[in-house]
Amino acid sequence: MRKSTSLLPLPLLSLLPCLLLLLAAPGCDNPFSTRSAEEPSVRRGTWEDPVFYDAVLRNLEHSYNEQIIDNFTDSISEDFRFFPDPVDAAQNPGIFDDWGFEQERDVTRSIFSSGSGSFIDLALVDTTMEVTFYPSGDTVRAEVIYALSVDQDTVSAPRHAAGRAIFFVSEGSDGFWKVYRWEDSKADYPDSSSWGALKAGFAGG
Amino acid sequence: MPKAKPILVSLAFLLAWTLPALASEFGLTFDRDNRTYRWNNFLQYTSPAGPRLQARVRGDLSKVLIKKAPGSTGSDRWQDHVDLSAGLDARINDWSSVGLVLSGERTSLNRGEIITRGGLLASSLTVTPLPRATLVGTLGGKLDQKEQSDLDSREDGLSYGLSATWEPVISGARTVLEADLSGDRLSAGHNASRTLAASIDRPLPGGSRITLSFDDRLDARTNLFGPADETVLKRQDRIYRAANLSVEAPLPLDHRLRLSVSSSDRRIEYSLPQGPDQEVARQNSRKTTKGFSAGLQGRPLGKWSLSGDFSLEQGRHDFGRDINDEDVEEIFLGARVSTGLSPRDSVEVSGQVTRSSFDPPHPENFNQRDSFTSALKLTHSHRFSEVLRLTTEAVANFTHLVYLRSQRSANNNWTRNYGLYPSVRIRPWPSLTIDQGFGIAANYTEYDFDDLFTDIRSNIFRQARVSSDVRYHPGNELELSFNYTYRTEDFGRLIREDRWVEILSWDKSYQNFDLSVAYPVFSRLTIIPNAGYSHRREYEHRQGGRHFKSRLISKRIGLRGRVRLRSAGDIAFSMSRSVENATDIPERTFDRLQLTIQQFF
Repeated sequence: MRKSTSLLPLPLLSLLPCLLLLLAAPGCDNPFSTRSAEEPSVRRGTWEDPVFYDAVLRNLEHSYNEQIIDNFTDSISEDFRFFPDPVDAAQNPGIFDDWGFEQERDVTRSIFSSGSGSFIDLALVDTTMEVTFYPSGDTVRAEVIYALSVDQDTVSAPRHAAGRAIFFVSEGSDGFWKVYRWEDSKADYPDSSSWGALKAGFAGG
Repeated sequence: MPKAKPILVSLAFLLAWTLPALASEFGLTFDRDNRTYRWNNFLQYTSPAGPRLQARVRGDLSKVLIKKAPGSTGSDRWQDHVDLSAGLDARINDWSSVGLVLSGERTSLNRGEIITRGGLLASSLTVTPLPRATLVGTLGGKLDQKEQSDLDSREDGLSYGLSATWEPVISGARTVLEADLSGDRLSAGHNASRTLAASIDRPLPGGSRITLSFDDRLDARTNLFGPADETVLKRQDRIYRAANLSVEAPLPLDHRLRLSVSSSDRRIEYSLPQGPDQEVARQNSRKTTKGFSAGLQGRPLGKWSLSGDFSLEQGRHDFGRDINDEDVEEIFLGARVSTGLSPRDSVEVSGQVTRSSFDPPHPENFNQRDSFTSALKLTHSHRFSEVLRLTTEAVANFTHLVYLRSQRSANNNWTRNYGLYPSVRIRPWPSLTIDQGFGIAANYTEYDFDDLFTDIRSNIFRQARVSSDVRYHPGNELELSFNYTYRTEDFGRLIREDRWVEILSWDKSYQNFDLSVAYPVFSRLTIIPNAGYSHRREYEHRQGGRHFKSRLISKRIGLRGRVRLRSAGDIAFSMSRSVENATDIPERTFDRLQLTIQQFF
């Protein structure tokens, strides 16, 4: 066997990251410290801690109506997936491939910044919820009828959307609930547009 | 009659199943989940591998029905899909072969609201001019048809592909070179895909190693995008370029050092078929990143294993509308130490810190923010005997979210999460396993500027849980499983006075039982009846008292089973019903049914 040659003679180099971790402890001036913030001038908007599954949907509704992206992203999980209505997928080929947290955040941010004032009106109504119990935390399947208006003309996208959304919501280790799966379905009457069609418009379709 | 189609086709597949064996595999699945019904059938045949010729046929049929909601004035929604393909491969000599493929597919949404049809007839030539080198060329005709209200379209044209792969070993360096060009040139829509990839992995003297890789991919499509009355023909280019250089080197005392630099550029660009367009280009986006990482691992003290990782990544997210642009920086440091303290004990400690910064250049974007996270995890395992093992896990996670601008900083907060999770596994006999788990956790969320506001949002969430899993497997396919979980949680506001004071807001508790028995009725049939019961109670704390808020009871019953057919294949089925009773809500029933038939020939 060929004898290995060392490039660095220092022993116990493995302890170096541990020392760096100590350096990174709160209180020291280190590259991990956060910057200082200005004192708040406005409230965060309508928000209730999502310690019950239905609060997640209320927060999501308020985040749209108040156009506060953080309240929206705090309502969906990192492993979030969006599944459009098949009609929207057919009309916007490729747009919804691998639609996850990042795509949802970017598009929602674009929707929120497409107008000013009270230009968004979202109503989530007629909710049906089914709870599945798991030892680590529960999962809820919430079926919701929605009506959404986005009064903007910066992007070619439907101004009104209506349909049915199925949200799968799960409880995290911090006790807060988040949406991890969203199945969209346009309303079952002709010429309706869905939430997915609106997202496709802002995503480039 | 249209609704009878899936049944007729399923019967045809079943008939084919009973005919003399020609197919390799046949499958049928039916699934019902409340108002959603799904059918799927497939048939696949591959001829025995001959010295020169091999043929294959595959057919898929799937349907989805979403029945309209009770009371709705709308209609049921359907999605039908059929996909058929056949192929033939013929070997000419040791270094070349030709192939022919014929395929067609049809998708119908809502009984004809949108119908798409596609067809392809293509031939291919595969050549192996050198050892470890392959060239594949395909050429054929393609048809795409779309029927949608008054916006029908029909396109036909050419489908092509050329790919080359070469994996030579040059002066001891393992090299992979790939080039691929493929696409369709139809009357209006074009799709094109281009890939160039190269990687070199070369050992260096002294046990070191260097790896260099490069990727360049382009996916371009020209399509009608948007709803039926506003469709626009656009070209979308998805471009991805990445390069990575990494070096690994040995260090004393059985250590290894790894250094890596990387860069990536991901773009989505839109244009009109006739050229760039300012309005359409507003949808463009681009994400660029460059990064450096270093890792060290080794065993400096014999039985101690240590590793550490550091990474720094900087990027820019550039969207067509400037207000959403962001500069991103992330720095990460992590370390892990593990050791076997004794033949019966092992310990592992790991920790990491990360800081992410987001800086939008646009003055009207107030989302300039930092995020700091750190995590510490300790795991200890002790084996008392072959029968009893205790594992204890302790975790602590800290996150600080800091928005710099006054318009967003009301949300700045620290979250501190602590957890302790001991568990015991008992195996008194090989056929009996008992897992007993415990857990307590607390999550503190402290808002930086809570003192400035009247409504306090800093809070604490606590959870405790106990779970018991019993699995008894006396032999064959007989198995008894039982699970019981109890969980209790409470949540309260945190007020900062001289010290933190908690005002409890609510508490809730859950109990869950699940029981199932796997039971072989006879040699080819196994059934698994199962039942479950869950109970949740919620209480509000107000005016100094604890008041009942709501209760939810869920009862479940189900039956799963599997029939192994005399020939290779099986039938699996699953049906369940759950009934929920909740405070102030009428009783609800949820039914599910799934049937799967699979036959191998």
